[in-house]
Amino acid sequence: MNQPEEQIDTIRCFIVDEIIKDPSVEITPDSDLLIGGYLDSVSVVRLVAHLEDQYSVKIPPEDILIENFGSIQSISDYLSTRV
Amino acid sequence: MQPDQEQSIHEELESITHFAQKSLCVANTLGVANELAPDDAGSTSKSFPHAAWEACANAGIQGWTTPTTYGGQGYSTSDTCKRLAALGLGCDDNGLLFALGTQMWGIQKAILRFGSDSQKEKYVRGLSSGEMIGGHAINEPDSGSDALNLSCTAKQTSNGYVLNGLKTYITLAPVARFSLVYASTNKEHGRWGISAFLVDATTTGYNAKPADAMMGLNSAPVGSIVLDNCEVPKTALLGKEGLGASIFNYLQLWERSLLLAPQLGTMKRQLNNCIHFAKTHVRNGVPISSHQSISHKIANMAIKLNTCQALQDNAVNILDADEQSGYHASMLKIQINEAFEQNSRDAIAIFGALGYSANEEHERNLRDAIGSSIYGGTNDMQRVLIASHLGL
Repeated sequence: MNQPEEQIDTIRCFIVDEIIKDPSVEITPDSDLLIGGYLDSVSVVRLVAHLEDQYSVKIPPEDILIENFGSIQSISDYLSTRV
Repeated sequence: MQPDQEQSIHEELESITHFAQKSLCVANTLGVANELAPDDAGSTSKSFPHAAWEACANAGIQGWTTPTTYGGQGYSTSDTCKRLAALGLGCDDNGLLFALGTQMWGIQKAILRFGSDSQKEKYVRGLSSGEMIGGHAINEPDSGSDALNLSCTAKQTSNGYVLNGLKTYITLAPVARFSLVYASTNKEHGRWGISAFLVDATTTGYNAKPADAMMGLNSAPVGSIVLDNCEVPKTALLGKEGLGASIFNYLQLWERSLLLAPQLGTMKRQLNNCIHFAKTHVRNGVPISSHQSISHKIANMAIKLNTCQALQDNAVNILDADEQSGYHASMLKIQINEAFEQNSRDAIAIFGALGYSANEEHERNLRDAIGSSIYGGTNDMQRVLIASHLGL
């Protein structure tokens, strides 16, 4: 598994296990997280804190937009610009 | 820190407390021993202590956290926090302190972080000088505990945006020169389609109205704003389209971390007053402090105050580290609210009938304390956030 795939899988696991808390939910890298209702505003704060901790990056509030957090793929793409 | 620096800071904090005692206390600003009764004061501009606000501005208080570039003092969060506690130690008008906090942490912080240079020049400079007052227009009649469940819309036009909707329970709306308004620019994106706007009160279609009287904090008047085809220029947008939810979350973190900082000073005054009263109020030949039912209450008040101080210092450190987790801020908000509420009940019990009198600050402190269990997200909501961060 290369690095982006591993990162996508790690993010997916956190969202499914820690936020949705339902392993039966199937989320693909392109699933719509925000509009699909998987991430509310509380969850986004948790996810941001987790990503900052996991990948040793700072995610400024200016970047918490749908284009960066709309899907696991977009999160991964965004992180690649921050590392 | 060098001893002479410590002495200098100590003297400055003392001068802030002295200023607050002299110029900001209810008896001095409203000319009565207590604030106007809620049914008389309502939430109109009449209940707002304009002279005290101006006195604060002349003392530079609204600009404590503002960079010197925009006419402020540029103090660090930690230094501002100490000054706010010194202010609370001397000022018995909790509504005024609350109003100052909503400006510093809710409005100025938003514009300093997300605003353009011209927005900072216009609004931050105006707010810091005391010339301007801003309202934070989030709530709507149907939004409930989910503050971002908005109906208010902002439709883009060739010139800017047209806003329509109703905003409620806005602190300082009756006296605000402008408001930070959240509205949807893209309904399909839900809360991620919310944007924030700086809307001047003189704009056609912006109608502010006072709300019904509140239980406490009456010198911070509350109101609603009707936005009826309210057209604003593109330059009214704060940050980017769709950034509203993130701006809101960011401000919640700052407000919950610092809005109650002055109450550490208020609780210290409350504690000092209770100690003095208990030692000097003699019944049946002994001061009431000799009774454990009294001394234990006071001991508990001191424990709560010191716990709050520790959590406050921790929250400031987290803000300085630029961490966005709201976990500690939620704990702090609950802790200060519940400590102040219980300490106010204990103060009333210690002072007895005098504590229950509307001519003293004790009953008012209790009414004011309850306000902080509601605003900035109810304590129940804070516990939801804490539980969520614990993975529950």
